[in-house]
Amino acid sequence: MNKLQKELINLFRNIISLSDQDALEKINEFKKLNSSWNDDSETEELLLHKEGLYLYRLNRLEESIKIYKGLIQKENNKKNTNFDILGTHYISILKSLFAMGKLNLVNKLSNNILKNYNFSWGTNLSILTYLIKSNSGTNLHKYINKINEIERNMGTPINLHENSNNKVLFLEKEFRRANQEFSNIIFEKNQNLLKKKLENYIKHEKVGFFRNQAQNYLNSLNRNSI
Amino acid sequence: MRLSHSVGELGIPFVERYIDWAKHHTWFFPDGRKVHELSLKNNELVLPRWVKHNLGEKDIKEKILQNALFIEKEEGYDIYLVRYYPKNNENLKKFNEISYSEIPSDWSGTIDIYGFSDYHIQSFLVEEGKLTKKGVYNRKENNKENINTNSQTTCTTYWLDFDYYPIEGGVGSSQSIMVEICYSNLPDGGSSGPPESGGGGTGGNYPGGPGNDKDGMICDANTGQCIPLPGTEPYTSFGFPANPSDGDTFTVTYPDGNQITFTYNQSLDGWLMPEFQGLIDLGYTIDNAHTFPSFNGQLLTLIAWNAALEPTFIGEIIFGSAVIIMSTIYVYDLAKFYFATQDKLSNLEHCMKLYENCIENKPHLPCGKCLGYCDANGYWDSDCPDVMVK
Repeated sequence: MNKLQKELINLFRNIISLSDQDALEKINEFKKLNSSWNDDSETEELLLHKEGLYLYRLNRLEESIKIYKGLIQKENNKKNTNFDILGTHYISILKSLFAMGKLNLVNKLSNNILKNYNFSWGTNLSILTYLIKSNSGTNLHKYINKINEIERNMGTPINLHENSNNKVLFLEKEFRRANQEFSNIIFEKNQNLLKKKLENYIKHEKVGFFRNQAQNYLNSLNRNSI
Repeated sequence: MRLSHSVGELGIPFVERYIDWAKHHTWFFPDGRKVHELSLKNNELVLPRWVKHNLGEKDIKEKILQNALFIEKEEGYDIYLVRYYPKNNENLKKFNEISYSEIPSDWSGTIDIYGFSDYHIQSFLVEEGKLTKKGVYNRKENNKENINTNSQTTCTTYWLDFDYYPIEGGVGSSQSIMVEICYSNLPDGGSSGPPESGGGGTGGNYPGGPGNDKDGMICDANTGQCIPLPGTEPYTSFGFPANPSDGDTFTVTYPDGNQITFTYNQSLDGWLMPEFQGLIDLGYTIDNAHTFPSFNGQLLTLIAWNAALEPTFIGEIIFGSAVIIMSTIYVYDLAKFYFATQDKLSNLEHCMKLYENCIENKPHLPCGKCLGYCDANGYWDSDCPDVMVK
């Protein structure tokens, strides 16, 4: 971990306990005091992302959207655009538009994004969910390949008779649940307890993707303890 | 309030409807839209003739419920008319015993859904609380009542009767139109057919058609709006207990694992957010609490959580006789609050822990991208999986 990364982590960790307004001020102070991030694109973008996030939390939604639009433009101008980063910024914009109650815009933008980009299945799942949240009657037929890809990667048993909208909402709910349960387990500090929790999770988890992750983690723990 | 509208596609010429405000159900569709189901006072019903046969003509208008659904949208409401026709006299229900979101498990009959201008959108057959078949009316001319059945559908032709009032408040006359409806089975529906007629006439006639549904929703071709099927479980209170006692607590866990514990205050009939309850615990009181209405299980908070929620000012919290005004009190509808905050209260701590692990264990991964994704979604990206594995 380099010095800048350490400083950045300290900043992000410290602002968690602050009010959103104070956190935003700290980010801006950091930007002014540390010029070193100017030649570190990832750091600059992370700071901008955090700024956008706190603006969102402060209901300064237009300002938040403006920051994410800038980040999208930046990413698009790169030689090797990272489409998942692009997708994440789009999700942040959808979140703000949704909070503003601009459901028509959310619907339109979600459709455009899905038509024009091929993101990872996790990102697609989020955007499809916004599409449905903005209009429950949206026909998802044209995204059936993306939905199938999500289903395949998640490895979740699902009722074949479910319509596409319900399927996406179900998958998103399951993804959040399984992800959260897995994340809670991996922060267990007691190694023996951690292994037990992982074994139990592997036994019961229906979402194959996280079951496999848990298995990989358990394997690595067992390897290291030999 | 009275609702006026034009003549519908079936030619049913009702002009006005009167709302009975005393009869009112409110709930949320699973997608968060708020729904008000209100009873219509007037008796000008559309009466399929099989219903008359099954229920008998005496007091028939009191045996059928006719409600209006007002579905909140960005500006105004989408309005639908819903008619509940019991299968027979053993299935009669009062307004408070049945609603679009809660069909009793012991109820059988037909639910007809109409647009605001009385154009038919969809009919559902219900057997013991479960939707079994669906169909749409098509107007027929010079036809006789009959039934045609094949393996997939049952098509029925019968009369719809209704009262026609040429002049408002004037004398009505009974009118009829002939319709055909072809019922198709619903995927999860039972195999039971239409309710049997009480005797003579059409003999068990029941309607059907191609249906206006899209992906399990009922869609109104005239407005492009869709609603869930009758009986779809509503989004009610995300787990809050129905009959809490004073001091009961309830912890809501958001999808990202973040938790908020609410405490029930009986005198206000509301759930207090932690910062509110904290002040009460410290001896603060609510100014003029006795003048407040019952909050009917809503959330009370001292923080305006989200401008999009349009918090309502209801009073101030003070400390005993010192009258130190601490904060404005806001009231939020439970479900609206939940829908507006489920993303907002993202667990920054959780994402940071994973980010730190990512940098530590997987320095070659774009960890900043993963943190961004986690902050935006409340969970770690599927593309940044094994941050715990070195």
